[in-house]
Amino acid sequence: MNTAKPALLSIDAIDVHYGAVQALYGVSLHVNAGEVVSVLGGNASGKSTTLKSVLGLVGPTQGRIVLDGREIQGRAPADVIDLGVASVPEGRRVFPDMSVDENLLLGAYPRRKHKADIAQDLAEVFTTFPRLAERRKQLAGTLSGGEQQMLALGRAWLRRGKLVCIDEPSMGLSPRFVDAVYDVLFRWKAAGQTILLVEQNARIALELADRAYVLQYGHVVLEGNAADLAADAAVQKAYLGAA
Amino acid sequence: MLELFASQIVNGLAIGQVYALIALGFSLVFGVSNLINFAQGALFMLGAFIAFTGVTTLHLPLVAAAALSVAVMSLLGMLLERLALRPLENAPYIAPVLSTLAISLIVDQLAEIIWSPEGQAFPVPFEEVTYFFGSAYITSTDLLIFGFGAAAAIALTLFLSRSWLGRTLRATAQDRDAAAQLGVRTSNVKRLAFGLAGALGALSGILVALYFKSVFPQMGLPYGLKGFAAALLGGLASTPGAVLGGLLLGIVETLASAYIGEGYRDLVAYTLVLVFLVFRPQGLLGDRRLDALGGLGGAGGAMPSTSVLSSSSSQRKATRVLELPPWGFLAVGLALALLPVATQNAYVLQAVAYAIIFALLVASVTLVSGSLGILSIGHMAFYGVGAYAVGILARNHGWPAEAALLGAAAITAIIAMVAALPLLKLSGHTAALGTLAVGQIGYLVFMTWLDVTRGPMGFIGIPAPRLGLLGGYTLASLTQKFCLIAVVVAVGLALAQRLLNSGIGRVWRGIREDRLAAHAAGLPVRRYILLGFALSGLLAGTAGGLFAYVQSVVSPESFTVSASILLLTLAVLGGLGNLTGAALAGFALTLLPELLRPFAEWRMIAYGVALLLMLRLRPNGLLGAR
Amino acid sequence: MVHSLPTPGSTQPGLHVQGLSRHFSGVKAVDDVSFDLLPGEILALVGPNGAGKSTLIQLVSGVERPTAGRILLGDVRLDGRGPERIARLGMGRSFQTSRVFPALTVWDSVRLGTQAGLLRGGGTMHKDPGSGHGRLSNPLAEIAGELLGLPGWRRRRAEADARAETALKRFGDRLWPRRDQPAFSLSYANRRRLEIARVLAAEPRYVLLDEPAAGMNPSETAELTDLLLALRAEQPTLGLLVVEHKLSLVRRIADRVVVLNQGRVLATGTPAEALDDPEVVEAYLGRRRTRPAESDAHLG
Repeated sequence: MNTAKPALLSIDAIDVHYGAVQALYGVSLHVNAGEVVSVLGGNASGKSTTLKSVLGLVGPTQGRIVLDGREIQGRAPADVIDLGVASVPEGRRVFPDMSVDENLLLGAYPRRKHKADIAQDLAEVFTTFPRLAERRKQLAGTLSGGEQQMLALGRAWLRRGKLVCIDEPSMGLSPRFVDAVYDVLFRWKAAGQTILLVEQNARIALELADRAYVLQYGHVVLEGNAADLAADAAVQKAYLGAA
Repeated sequence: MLELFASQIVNGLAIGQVYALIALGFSLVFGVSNLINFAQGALFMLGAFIAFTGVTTLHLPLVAAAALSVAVMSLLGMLLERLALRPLENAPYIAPVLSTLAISLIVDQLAEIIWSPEGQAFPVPFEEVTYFFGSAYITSTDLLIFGFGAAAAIALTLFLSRSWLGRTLRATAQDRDAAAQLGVRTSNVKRLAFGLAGALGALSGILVALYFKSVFPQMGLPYGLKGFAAALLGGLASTPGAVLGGLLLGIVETLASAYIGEGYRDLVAYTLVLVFLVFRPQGLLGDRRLDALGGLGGAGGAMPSTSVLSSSSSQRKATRVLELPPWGFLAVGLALALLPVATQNAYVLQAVAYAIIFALLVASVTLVSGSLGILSIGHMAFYGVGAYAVGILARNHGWPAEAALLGAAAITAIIAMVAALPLLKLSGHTAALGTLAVGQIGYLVFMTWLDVTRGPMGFIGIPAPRLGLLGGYTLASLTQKFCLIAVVVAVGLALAQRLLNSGIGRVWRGIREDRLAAHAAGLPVRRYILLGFALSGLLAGTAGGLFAYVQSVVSPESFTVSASILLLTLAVLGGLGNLTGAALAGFALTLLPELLRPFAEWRMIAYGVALLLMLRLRPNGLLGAR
Repeated sequence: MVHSLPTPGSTQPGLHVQGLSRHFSGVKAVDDVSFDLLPGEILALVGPNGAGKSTLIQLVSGVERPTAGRILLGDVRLDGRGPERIARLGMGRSFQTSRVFPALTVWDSVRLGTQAGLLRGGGTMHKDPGSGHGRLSNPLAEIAGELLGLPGWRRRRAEADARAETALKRFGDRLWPRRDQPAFSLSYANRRRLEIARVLAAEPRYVLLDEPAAGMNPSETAELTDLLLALRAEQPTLGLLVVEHKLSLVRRIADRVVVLNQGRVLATGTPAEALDDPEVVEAYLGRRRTRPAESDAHLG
C-alpha cells in the first residue's frame, strides 16, 4: 500500500439506492494519481453506478467520496467536473445535432477562458484522430458508433482533467474499434493520465489497468493487481455464472 | 393578380415573423426543459404593455421603452422559472404545464386591472409610409416588423451558435445529462432559456403593438396559441424550425384571409396544425423527442409510464382517493332536485343550474384528460356542439326534449370520436395540442357557419323543453327546468362512474399509465380511446344541450378556448380521473364566483393563485387523482 | 408422379425468425439473425451488453419494425404487424424495465392481461389462434355487458378473473397479499414478478421474457428458475424465449442457447456447448490483444 500520498480519489463504503432498490452495498475503492483502475462486473453488478456516484449523477445514501482531499458525495455533476474531472459517458452521448468541432469544444467548457490552450489541444486531438479531422463540420449524429466513441474520448481529453472517468468504452463496438479505443487509452496511460474505467470487456480492461475491482450484486467481490486478476478463475465465474 | 398575391405574401411574412419570435420562445424553453410554457402569451402581452407604459406614462422614446420592456421581461421570464417551475421538478409531469397556465391566468387578469380591460392606442412615433409596386403595396410598418423580427432571429441564431452560453444551451437541449458531465450547470441554462423567452416575448409583443397600433390585455392568448402552433409546425425543439413554422403559418393564414375570407384566417391556421399533427407530428425540422414524455425510464431506474400523472422522481406517493359510488350521484342529484322546495329565488336556482351543468361538463373533461390521460384543451367545442344540436333539433325540427337531448348527445359523441381520430397516435404534449386545435376549430366553425349557427349573432329562440313521454308536458318554468337538469346530470354521472369502475375504466387507466404495455398486452388501444372520447362527448353534449335549454340562446362566446383551458384546470383541481372531484370542482367553482361577485376582477387571480398552491401542496387534486 | 412442393415458409408450428436485421442510422443492432423456438421449448438468448438481444425481442413482439427478414408464428407472418395483433396471436412478452401500469393496483394490473382474451369471447390466447385472427366482441355489447352486468358478460369476467388470480398466486405470497396496493409501491423484483404474472394471465402460447431475473438476488433468482420449470411441466407446449444475463438461470432452464454478439448469432447449442465455446467466452470477457501495449505512447 502506498501510504506516502493520499489517493487522488477514494470511495469509502458507499451505499446507493434507486428508490426502493439498493444498487451498491458499502463499495470502497481508491485511485492513486497516475494509476489506471478498472471496475469490472457483469450486467447490473453496480459498476456503472459506482462511476455515476463519483460524477454526482447519483447520490450515495451512505459513505464518502473524496477527490483530492475534498468530499464530493452528493455534489452536482458540474461541481465535480469543475474540480478537474473529465467524463466519457456510457453510450458515448455526443450531441447529435452539433458538429464534431462544437462537440470537442464543449469538452473544454470548464476552461473556456484559455483560448490559446484550447486551440492547441484541439489541434492535438485532430492529429490523434484523423477521422475526426476529416469530419470536423459533420454533425455528430451522422458518425458511426466507433467514430462517436472517438469523439467522446477527444471531448473528454479537451477537459485536461486530472481524473478521467470512462464508462464502458467498448460497448457495442466491433473488435477493430475496440482496439482503436484502447490504443488511445494506452497512450493516455503512458502519458501519465489517471483513469477510472468501468468495463464489461474484462480481458482488455485488465491489460490496460494497474489495479481492478470486480463487482457482483453491488458488492466488491474481488480486488487486486490487474495481472493477478486476469489469471483468476473467479473473474470468469463472475461473468459466465459457471457453477 | 400576381401583384396582389405578392403583397399578401409580404404581409404574411411580416406577421409570420412575429409568430416566429413567439415560437422561438416556446422552442428554447421546450428544448431545455421539455415543457410547453403556456405563459409565453402572457409574457408577450406584458412586454407590449410595459413598452406602452414606457412610451405613454414615462414619455420614453420608443427604442428606450422597448429596451426597458425587453430587460424587464427577461427578468420576469427567469422569475417565472424560479417561482412556478423549479419547485415542481419532481412533481407529476402535468404540474409545470398547469403552473404556467395558472401564471397566465393571473398575469392576464392583473393586466386588466392595471391597464383596464379595454384596448388602448399604441402611439407610433413615426409616419407610416406605403410603398406601391403596381397594385401591390407594402407599408413601412411591415418592413419594420419584418426587419426587426429577422434581425432578432439572426441575432439569436448567432448567439446560439457562436457564444459559450449559446452552445451550452443547445447542448443542454440535446442531452442534459451529457452536458452536465462536461461541467455545464444545466439549471442556470434553464433559467437563461426562460430569460430569453421573456425577451422574445417582449420583442414580439412590441412588434404586434406597432402592427395594430394598439394594445389590449387579451392579446396574450391568441398570439400565444399561434406562436405555439408555429413552434409545433417547425418541430418544437428546433430553432430554425420555429422561424420556418412562424413564416409558414403567417403566409398560409394571410392567403386564407385574402382569398377565402377574413373569418377563415384562424380556421385554416388550426386546420393546418391538425393536418401536421396527423402526418408529421414531429414538425418540419423536428425530431421524435416529443414522444419521449414520460415514456422512457431514465438511467435512475425510474418506473416506465406514459402517464401525465407520473413524475421523473422514482418515488410515487399513494394518495387517498375520495369518490362517490354510482348511486351516490343519483342520491346527490335527487337531493339537489329538491332545492326548489327550499327556495324559489330565480337567481339562486339559475346559478345552481349552471353549476350542475358544469359538474357534468368537467366530468366529461376528466374522463379524457384523467382516465385516458389525453389532456383536453378543447372540450368547449363538444359542449358547443351539444348546445347547437339541441337548438337545431328542438327549434328547427320540433323534437321533444328526450329525443333532442339524446340526439345532441349522440351527435356530440360521434363528433368527439371523429375529432379523436387524428389524436390516436399522439400522446403527451402533441395530443394536448391536437385537442387545442380541435377546440379552436370548433369555436371558429360556430363563428363562421352562419347558416346554421348564425355566428356571433347567436342562435336564438330555443323552446322550453317539452317531454314527449309525458304527453308533451312542457317544462316552462325555471323550477321545472332545474329538476330536469339535476336528474339528467345525476343519471349521466352515475352511468359514467359505473363505466369507470368497470373493466372499461380499467383499460382506460391502463392506456394512460403505459400505452406501450397496453399494446403489448394485446389491448385494442384505438378502440378504447375512441370509446373514451365517445363517452366524454356524450356527457359534454348532454351538458351543452341542457345549457341550451336554460339559456334559450346559444352563441360562440360560451365556447372559447380560454374556457376550455379553465375546464382542464378544474378537472385537475378536482383530481384527474376522479369523477366526483371533477363534478365537485365544476359545481363549486361555478357557484363561487357568484358569491364573490363584488370582487369580480380579482376572482381569476385568486383562482390562479389557488391553482398554483394546489399544484405545490396537493398535486393530485382535492379529492385525489385516480 | 405429382410433385408436391414444400409450401414456402413451411407450416411447422413454432416461432421462426429468418434472416432478421434491424439497423439504426448505420448501426447494425440486429444483423441477419435466424433461429426457431418450438412449442414446449425453452430457448435462452444471451450475449454481452449491446449485443442486440433486447432489439430482437422488440422486433419479434412488433414494437420495432425489422429492416429485413421474416418472423413467422406457424405460417402466420408477424413482421409488419403491430404489437397488439401479435399479442392476440398468443405471444406474450415482458419488458426489460418492467412495465406494470404503475398507478393501477396489482390486481388491476394483472387483470389487464386477461382483457384481450375476454374480448375474444372469454377464450384464452392459445385456443384456436388462427381463426379470423381473433375477432373482438362488439364495443356496444361490451358497454352493455359492463353497465348492466349481463350474465354472459359476468361469466366471462369471472373466468378471466380466475385466470388472473391463478397467475398472481403462482408467486406464492409475493403478490397475492399485496393485490390492492398500487403497482408502483412494489419492490423491483416484485414488479418483475407482476409483469410476468400479467403475461401468464393471458395464457399465451409463446412467452418472451426480457431479463426476468434482473434486480433479483440469488435466492430470488432460484425461485424464479423453479417457477419457470414448474410452468413448463404444467404446460408442455408452451414456448419460452428468455433473454437473461444470469447464466446460472440459463444453465438450469434452457434447452438451447443462442449467443448473440454485435447483432449476430455467435453460437447455438445446449447451454454447456454454447456457453463454454471459446468464442463465447471471448465475447463476454473480451479478447486478448495481439499487440504489445507500450509500443506507441506519444500523445501528451
